[in-house]
Amino acid sequence: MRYQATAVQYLKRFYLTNSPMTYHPKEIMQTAVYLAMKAEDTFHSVRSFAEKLDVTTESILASEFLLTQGLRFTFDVRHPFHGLEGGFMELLAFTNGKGEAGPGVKKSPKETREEMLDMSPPPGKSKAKDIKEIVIRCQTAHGKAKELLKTSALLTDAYFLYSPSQLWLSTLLIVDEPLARFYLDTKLPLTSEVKPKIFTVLRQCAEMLRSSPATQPDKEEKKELKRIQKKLEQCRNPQKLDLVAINRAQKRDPDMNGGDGLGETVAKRRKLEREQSMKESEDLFGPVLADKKG
Amino acid sequence: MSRSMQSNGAGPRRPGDREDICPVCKSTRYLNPEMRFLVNPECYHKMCESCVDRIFSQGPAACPIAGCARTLRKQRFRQQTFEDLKIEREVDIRRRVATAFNCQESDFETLLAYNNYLEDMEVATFNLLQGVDVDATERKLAAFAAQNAASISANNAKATETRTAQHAHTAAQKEQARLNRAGATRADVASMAEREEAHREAIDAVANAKDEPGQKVVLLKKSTARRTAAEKARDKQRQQQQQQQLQHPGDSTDHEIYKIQGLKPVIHPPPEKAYDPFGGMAHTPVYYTLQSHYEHPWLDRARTDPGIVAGGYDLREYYHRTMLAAFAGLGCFIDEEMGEKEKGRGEGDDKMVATEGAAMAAAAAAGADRAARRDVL
Repeated sequence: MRYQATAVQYLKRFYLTNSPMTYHPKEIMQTAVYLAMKAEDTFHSVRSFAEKLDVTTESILASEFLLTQGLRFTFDVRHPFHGLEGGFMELLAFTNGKGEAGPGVKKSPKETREEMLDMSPPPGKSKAKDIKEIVIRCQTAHGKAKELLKTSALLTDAYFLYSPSQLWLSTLLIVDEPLARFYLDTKLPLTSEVKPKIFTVLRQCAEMLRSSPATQPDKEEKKELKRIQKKLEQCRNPQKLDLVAINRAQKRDPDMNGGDGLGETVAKRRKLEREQSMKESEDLFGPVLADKKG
Repeated sequence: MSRSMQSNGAGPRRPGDREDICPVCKSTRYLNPEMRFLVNPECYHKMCESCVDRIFSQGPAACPIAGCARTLRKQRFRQQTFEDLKIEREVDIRRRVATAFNCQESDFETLLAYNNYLEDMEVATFNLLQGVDVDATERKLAAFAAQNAASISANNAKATETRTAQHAHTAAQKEQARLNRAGATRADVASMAEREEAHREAIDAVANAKDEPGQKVVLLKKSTARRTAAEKARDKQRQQQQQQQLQHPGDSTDHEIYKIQGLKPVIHPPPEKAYDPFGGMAHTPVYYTLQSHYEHPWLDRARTDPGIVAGGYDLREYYHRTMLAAFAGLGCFIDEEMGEKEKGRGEGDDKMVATEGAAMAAAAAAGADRAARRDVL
């Protein structure tokens, strides 16, 4: 699961600085998944990966360096899943009467346990009778929050705008607000100055997560997607159409100016120019000054 | 005369070698022209080298001179430096005392304190020299050395440092002087050659004279001008050398560290704090208290499965990591921080591009554009 989330983030990060009109998302997507599997410790060989996708290994590897460049070589993605597990662990500890409140909050484990029993129920449900129901409530909240993190958090820009801890706490806020409030009360004292600020941020984040598109497109969206795909085929950057060929050419002749898909004559002329400027720079009085008209 | 002839083969003669008869074995220089006399600073009795080898090579033994009977060791025998053994002994004692009393006047706050210190030193020396209260003085000296061991060793280190610096300085001076001398001889040779050439030219001029009276004078003037130029250069070199000498004074009389009475207080630099890679950031968590055990249905397998437990997997690591991840960056407000950053960049720049990548792309596009225009031309 983690590598999928990482791959989605790779895609998002890559298209921050690159246009889908230059690089087709379909090609980059394969590479993103492959790279994410490497980064998240679930490595599969290119061959087996390509076999499953029914593509050539070259088509996956062609854009690999491009993608790493687009990511500026930052492969680490901080996910909120770990944090959610930590929070769930603590909630269970509170139900057992063993959970310690945060250092700034003076509450004994017994008090927090009783508070938990007193907690207002989620909308549409009756108040919990015993601690077992609270445990079940925590478990359902945990499951739902995880589901939200797997879908809405990845489909929106939330990863760019909120820290992982804010992300998972806002999913908890969506799923079970009284529980989230109780949990944050055990963490932050009532007098804390950042508390209202944190709550506003969590609400903003929750709003963003609620507005996320559905994981499966409906009919109208599918229609729109088809239209966009057709349009994209017509207006793609012709120089970057065949990434495999560019990659091959670059491997054959690394001097070809970064494999821009330039014609041979252009590359040759640029090479000559570069050599000439090198020669001039070794001249006693330096190279010829560039004319202002450029 | 015979003596000088005898000593020819024995190398440089030392002061103690003048006697011709060893007081122990009675052998004479006549029999053994390479005879050397050694003394031991324990009793300063003189004996020849072969006696020392014979008596003390088996280990420490009593002094063979009648009425002495001090235990001597071969290792400590040496040739005497001074003709008079009394002076030899005094120099030794003074050296020994000076190793313990090695403060300088600049270390003391007042002249009186320094004088008192010197008096202590002199009293100790005198007692040792004249044999007054030798045991008491020795004890006092040992106690003094033990008490000030740190400062004495520090002072010694400092003294060695200054000595080496002095050596280096004198060596540099010598080298400079040698270079100057070489330069001067070269200049002399050059001026000599010049003079000779001028002389020859003058003779040639006279030989080919066509009644031109100004010629000779002009030639002379030229050569003198050349000579004065060379002299000026030499003067300049000398001046530079003098300046260099001024810039490197012989020994630095910095204040040194001692704790004897009346010493100047030593200001130690504050000790460097231990390196803190986090720059004073707190390590204790703000939002949670880490516990040694957490319930989690998902973790039960990790607790019991021998495949995991045998590998040494510690669940506390997991607790630490997850709890850290749960609250890392909770109080970090990204939009606020980014807003400040944007403000810092200034609103005047309306061409501002959102990201560096976009800026790079724009630059590349501009470059391509320029190239295309050049193509047209």
